[in-house]
Amino acid sequence: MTARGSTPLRIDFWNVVTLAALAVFVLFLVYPLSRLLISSMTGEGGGGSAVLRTYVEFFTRRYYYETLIHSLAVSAIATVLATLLGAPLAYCVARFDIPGKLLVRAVIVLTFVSPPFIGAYAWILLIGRNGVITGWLAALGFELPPVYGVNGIVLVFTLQALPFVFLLVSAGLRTVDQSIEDAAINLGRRPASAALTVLAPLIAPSLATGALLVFVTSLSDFGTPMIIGENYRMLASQIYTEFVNEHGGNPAVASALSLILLVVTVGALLWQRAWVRRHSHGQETVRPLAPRALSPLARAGATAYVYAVVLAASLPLATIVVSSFLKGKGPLITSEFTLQGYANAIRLPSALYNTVMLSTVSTVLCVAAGALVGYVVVRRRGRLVAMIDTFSMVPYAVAGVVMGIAIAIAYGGAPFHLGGTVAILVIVYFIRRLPYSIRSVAGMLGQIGPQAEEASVNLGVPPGRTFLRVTVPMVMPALVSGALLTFATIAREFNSTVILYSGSTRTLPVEVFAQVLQGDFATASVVGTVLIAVSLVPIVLLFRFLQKDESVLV
Amino acid sequence: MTARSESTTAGVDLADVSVRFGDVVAVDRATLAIAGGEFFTLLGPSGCGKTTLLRAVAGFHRQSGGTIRIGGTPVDDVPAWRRDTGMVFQNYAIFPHLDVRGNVAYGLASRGVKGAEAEARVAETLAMVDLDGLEERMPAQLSGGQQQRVVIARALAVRPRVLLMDEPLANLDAKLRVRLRNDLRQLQRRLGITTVYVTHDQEEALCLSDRIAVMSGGRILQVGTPEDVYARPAALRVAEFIGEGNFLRGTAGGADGAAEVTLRNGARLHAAGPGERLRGEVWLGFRPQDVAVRAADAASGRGELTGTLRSRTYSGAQVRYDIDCGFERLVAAHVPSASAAGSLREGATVALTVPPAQVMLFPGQDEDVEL
Ligand SMILES: Nc1ncnc2c1ncn2[C@@H]1O[C@H](COP(=O)(O)OP(=O)(O)OP(=O)(O)O)[C@@H](O)[C@H]1O
Ligand SMILES: [Mg+2]
Repeated sequence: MTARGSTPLRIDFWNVVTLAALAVFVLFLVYPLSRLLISSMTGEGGGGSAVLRTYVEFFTRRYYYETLIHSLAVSAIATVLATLLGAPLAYCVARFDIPGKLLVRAVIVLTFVSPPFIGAYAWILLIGRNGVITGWLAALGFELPPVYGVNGIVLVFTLQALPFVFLLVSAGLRTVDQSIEDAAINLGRRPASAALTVLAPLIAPSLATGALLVFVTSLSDFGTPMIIGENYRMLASQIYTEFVNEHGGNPAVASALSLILLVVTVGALLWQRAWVRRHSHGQETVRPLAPRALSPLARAGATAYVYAVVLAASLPLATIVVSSFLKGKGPLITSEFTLQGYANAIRLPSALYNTVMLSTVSTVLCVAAGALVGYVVVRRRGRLVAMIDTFSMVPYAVAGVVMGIAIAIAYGGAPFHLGGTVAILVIVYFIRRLPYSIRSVAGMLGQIGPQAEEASVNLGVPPGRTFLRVTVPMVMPALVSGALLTFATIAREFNSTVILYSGSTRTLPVEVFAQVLQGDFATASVVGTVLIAVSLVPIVLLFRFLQKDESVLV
Repeated sequence: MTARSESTTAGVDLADVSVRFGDVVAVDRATLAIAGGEFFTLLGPSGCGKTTLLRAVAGFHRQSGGTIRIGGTPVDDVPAWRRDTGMVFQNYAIFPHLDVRGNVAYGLASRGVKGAEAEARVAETLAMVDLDGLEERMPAQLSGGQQQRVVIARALAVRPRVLLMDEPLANLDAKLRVRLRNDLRQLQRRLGITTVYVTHDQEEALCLSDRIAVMSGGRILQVGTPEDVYARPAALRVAEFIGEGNFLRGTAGGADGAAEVTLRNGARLHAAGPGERLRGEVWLGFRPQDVAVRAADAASGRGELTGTLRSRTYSGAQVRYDIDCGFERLVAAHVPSASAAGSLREGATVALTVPPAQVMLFPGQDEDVEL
């Protein structure tokens, strides 16, 4: 390979790209996180002598440390529940002849791209104090346990995290060879026992990745506890409150809390990666697992299970879409049909424009940079490349609110003064989504090997042009599906947006949240429905026209 | 190893077994009687239905017709996990998350064999396949040959009534394949366990088997000892598949007994091998190593073919000649390198003779020869 042995000082195309990639991570990741760290140690007021004062306060004052305990406990419970529900769901859909499988998959993908916290207010509409279902049950003489507080948070976290578990377990099952299961059965195990003793250990790494995603997402979500949590205090919502406090906020405390959250999430990521390294077994898949025939009774049971879980997971979305066409009175939704909500949502057009524009710009940047950096990570060697590889893992574990605050501190004020601009949102979207683009290109390049590029260089085409004329066409499928996914995930991005938006850069998720907090649930549903539609477009394109299935989502 | 304690080895009987996948008939009315303790091989080209038939015996495919018996009892309604067969898969299907001991002991747990007894059984079985001392190794730390031994031990440890092997040696390199093949044969003899073995490698089938069933297109064409199927193939397809051969079209005539076959180029050959009584349109076949080659200037006599030597390929002890005798295909001949005939030049005119006893005839309607 041409790259090996070249010194970093020589100016060739790929060395420039490598240095540029490093610069991007330093500017948009290392620098903001360092500023966050500094900010957490330089809070004014109080004694002011000890740099660690905020931290000491955090771990000694119950008001603060209980948020961490709550967050860890709730996220852990949601992770366990989502795994227990989601893994059998994926197994049933992958292995059994469930009627309407395509619909089931589509619905799960839909819940995957729906914005966080949407479930929270949808469940309030359904089973809150004045909820529809609450009303029906009350008429029958039943009373539901209250959905507010920790119960509601766990419910929402669990259901909104199901798709992670489903997608990863499905992907894991695709890597297991049928003969492994056959061998277990041939040795005397029933299919259920074979699934537990052989299949489960083999998909454990995928399961662990899914669980990590659930855990980190739950830790990072502050919209949900703010809407449904009532007085249940969690770390992410505490960070948000400290930062955006009406009375100026307290960046030092917010930064310190952010760093504590960062340590937890990065710790979880490192622990998970170490665990996966120990528990993954190289497998080759000649014949993937085939569907199994079931007795009619067992099939009915499996079908009922799948539909019950999928229904619960998709109910919030359905609620939002339906209620957007109903007349609302504050937090109450009547059963009167109207399109008035769409006309009344005065900030909808500008929020829609902002969302589409920001998502498009950030997606283009992400995909272009992802292609170049993905190439560097796979094809080049050296210490700089190893650093890039490590940096590109970090954003996975940085909660949106933490990244938002870090970018706000680093670029919001002097010397850059980007606060409230489009640029600052593009920066945060770019750095948060870049790793996914890098990974999808790297995955594809890893499979196709460097021979075609080497042939091109050997024929006299310089590396830069070889990349454009040989590599880019080869990874085009990964680029296009990566772009569509990136678009969908940026459009629904809330946690970092809400830290960094201004009046002129308000996006759809922010608008939904604002309406919910104001108690105007009807307008929230209208904006939410438009947001769902926006996220849906790329997913439909992906499935219908690129013939992909949900496996591209992981 | 002496008494097979739980279950004694058992014969396998297939009566009219068919397996369909939608419109594809993967196995077409197979009938076989495999005796207890026999080493029985299903041999045939890729896609002929060998694996499907083996998996039907293991219970992984429900046949669409016919009955399978193990030890005389129909097993059609017995699920795969209770069939008590030990299967060795082509791609090993080793459990990558379990060490060697865990793999071998896996089937014992479901049979209620635990603790010290299981431990002893694992040790005993690993000793059989020469893997003692590797109990703690993970599969990733084993060579291909060792992994294959582990899965054989895993299948044997449960003392199944029948051992089913699907191309167990196909993924190994040539030397190792021969060594493991011999080990396997000895082990099977020692245990006396009924073994159904699938391969598309005819040499492997000939070396290992007590009997062979030659399959093609889902059908069983011939069942017989290795000598039978090699020397007395029952059909052109069998002859084609087993060993190399020259197959030529012709018309058989003559009185009773041996036939005189007129080939398409006008040459005549005597056929006194299998099928000698056929008359009319026939396929005539003989093996390259049965051909004697000499330089010839004059036109051919009766019972001879003449042609031009098109290519000479040296391979150590043998020389292979491809000779153009005016047929659609070249005729192949293997000649000892050291013999006088071993040094002929390309372009030379040569005469070929084949001992009549080595010339086989097959009915002429089998048109679709694919050599
Ligand atoms: N699950 C299936 N669905 C449809 N057709 C199948 C299935 N399994 C096998 N077949 C078809 O049945 C035929 C026999 O397949 P089988 O796997 O038994 O062949 P084989 O003799 O083992 O070949 P090989 O030597 O390549 O392993 C083939 O034509 C194959 O395409
Ligand atoms: Mg096969």
